Amino acid sequence: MHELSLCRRIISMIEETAREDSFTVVKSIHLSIGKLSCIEAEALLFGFESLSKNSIAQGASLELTHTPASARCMACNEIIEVEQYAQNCPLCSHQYLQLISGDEMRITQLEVA
Amino acid sequence: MCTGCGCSSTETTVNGHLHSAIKNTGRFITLEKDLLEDNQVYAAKNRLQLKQNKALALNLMSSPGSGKTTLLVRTINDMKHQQLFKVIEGDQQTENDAGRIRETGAEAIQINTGKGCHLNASMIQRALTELKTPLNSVLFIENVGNLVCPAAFDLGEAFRIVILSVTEGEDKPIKYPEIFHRSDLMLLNKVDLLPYVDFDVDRCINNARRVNPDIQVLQISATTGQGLQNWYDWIQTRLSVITSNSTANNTIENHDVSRDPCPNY
Repeated sequence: MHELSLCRRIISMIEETAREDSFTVVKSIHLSIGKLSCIEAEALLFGFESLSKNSIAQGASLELTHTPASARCMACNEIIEVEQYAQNCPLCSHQYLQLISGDEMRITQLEVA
Repeated sequence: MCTGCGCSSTETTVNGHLHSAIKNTGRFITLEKDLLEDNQVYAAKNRLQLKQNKALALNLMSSPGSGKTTLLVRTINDMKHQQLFKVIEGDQQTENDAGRIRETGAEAIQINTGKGCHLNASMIQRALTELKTPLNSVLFIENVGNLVCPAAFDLGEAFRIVILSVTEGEDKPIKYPEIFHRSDLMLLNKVDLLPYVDFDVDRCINNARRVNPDIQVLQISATTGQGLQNWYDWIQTRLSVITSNSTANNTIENHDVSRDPCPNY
């Protein structure tokens, strides 16, 4: 459940931002999550709901955008979009792919009032 | 946007229905920050401190019971006459593992994570301040036994090592891909038990390469000593890089093992 650590970090980032840019209500929190990042959305939502109680983020919705993952095929050298680890190249069926992107976990913006 | 019908009008009444459901949007603040940013700051500090001390930090990750502590005890006992070792032990509870390490004479710091399922870089920062100077040492960081969560947290190590024992099953690399994807070396442990278990070594290694084509593999038995010389050579090669010149230090930072003379498996 490393999602709990990430939820704590999300809440502390919001508290830091609130000190710099005074707001009292957080309506929504927007996250950009790579398709192959190690976040389980359900665990994140569950953890956020319980950890945000009595914090400035209480009641805010967590909006997740899943960004695609890309890899380079080690046989045909093409860059392709991948859905999961250990998949074959959709172009040449080679089984070794070098992941290029897809494991990002970013907080992109806050909607506040 | 009207949350009732989805149209983009801001008029109060459109198409005959009242747009009472126009959402009261707040203002947006752009952050664009990595969720692990604070961990990465600590990891960078650790990496710098370790580099200045010419210490080789190795982050060992595996499921519980793969033989991490047995491997460390054996490694330290076999190499301690030529090499200084320090150990940071991560477990949810107990000092048991640090106790086993201390019996070898090596200094060990135990971190108890409580409910926590992984070590993070700030825990390592605190442990580094407790350790007597790690100058020229090999620093083993034994992560919490868990094949999932430790993968996400950079500790400031030079290399990441995943240990998989042959009693766990050859499909672990594709079942828990992230930890294998992020590791530099897979130690396939307990190979002395291969005659007694249904485990296809080649298939396991192929599974690991499917999630990480660059991963190196060494087959070992921490109990019988089989294959351990390759592991000791692997450590020595990386130590010599760290303790030589500054260009070599860049090599370690970049995890560049392309010139590695050790056999893959």
